[in-house]
Amino acid sequence: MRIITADQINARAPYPVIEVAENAFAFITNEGVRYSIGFMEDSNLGISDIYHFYITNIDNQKTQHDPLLSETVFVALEEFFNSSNRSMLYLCDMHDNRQAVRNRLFVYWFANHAKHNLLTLITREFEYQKDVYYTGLILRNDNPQYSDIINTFNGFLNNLPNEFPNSKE
Amino acid sequence: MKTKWTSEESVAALKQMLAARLAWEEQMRSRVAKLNLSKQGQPA
Repeated sequence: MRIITADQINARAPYPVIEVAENAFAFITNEGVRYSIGFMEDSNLGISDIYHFYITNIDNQKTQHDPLLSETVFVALEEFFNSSNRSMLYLCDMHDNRQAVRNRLFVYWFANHAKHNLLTLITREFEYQKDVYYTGLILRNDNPQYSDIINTFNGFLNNLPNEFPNSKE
Repeated sequence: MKTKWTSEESVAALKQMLAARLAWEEQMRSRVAKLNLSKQGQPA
């Protein structure tokens, strides 16, 4: 189901996006770095209207600080959260072991761009087979299932087996 | 909504999430590579 369009994002985003698949978009920065962003519905947690958010640096190019990148991403997130029923998960890319950096950057972006009276971000880290993962949940404060969604997210993470000793809030 | 989790269910869900992420990234790299994006947001 299409939940967000390129037109919605392009109405306010500094970098114009094009739709490359349903709920998935691509754009290029002033540095020439190509990104895709998108939302894919989750079927694992048993929560309705919850989507994974993905952001991919297509060519794994190194980048400079670019405030227009975070602005573009957060316009997409604001459009996504037009519906109070939606919630969002992310799991930081870890192909180069820089997942902690990505998580810190996303939390920084959230602190600078998100409307905190509207949204809650919960981040967690955990280990799985000697790798450290960073994940997060974002939902609207007026989501009718606010507490249940957080409890389910925490239940999923808390019940990862004992090989995840660093799982913490 | 799922309220109780076993370790096996949590691990299975995590593995599904990781696999879905990889599949999505591969799909996006393939699709975006064909676009030859321009800075005006349209294929060049």
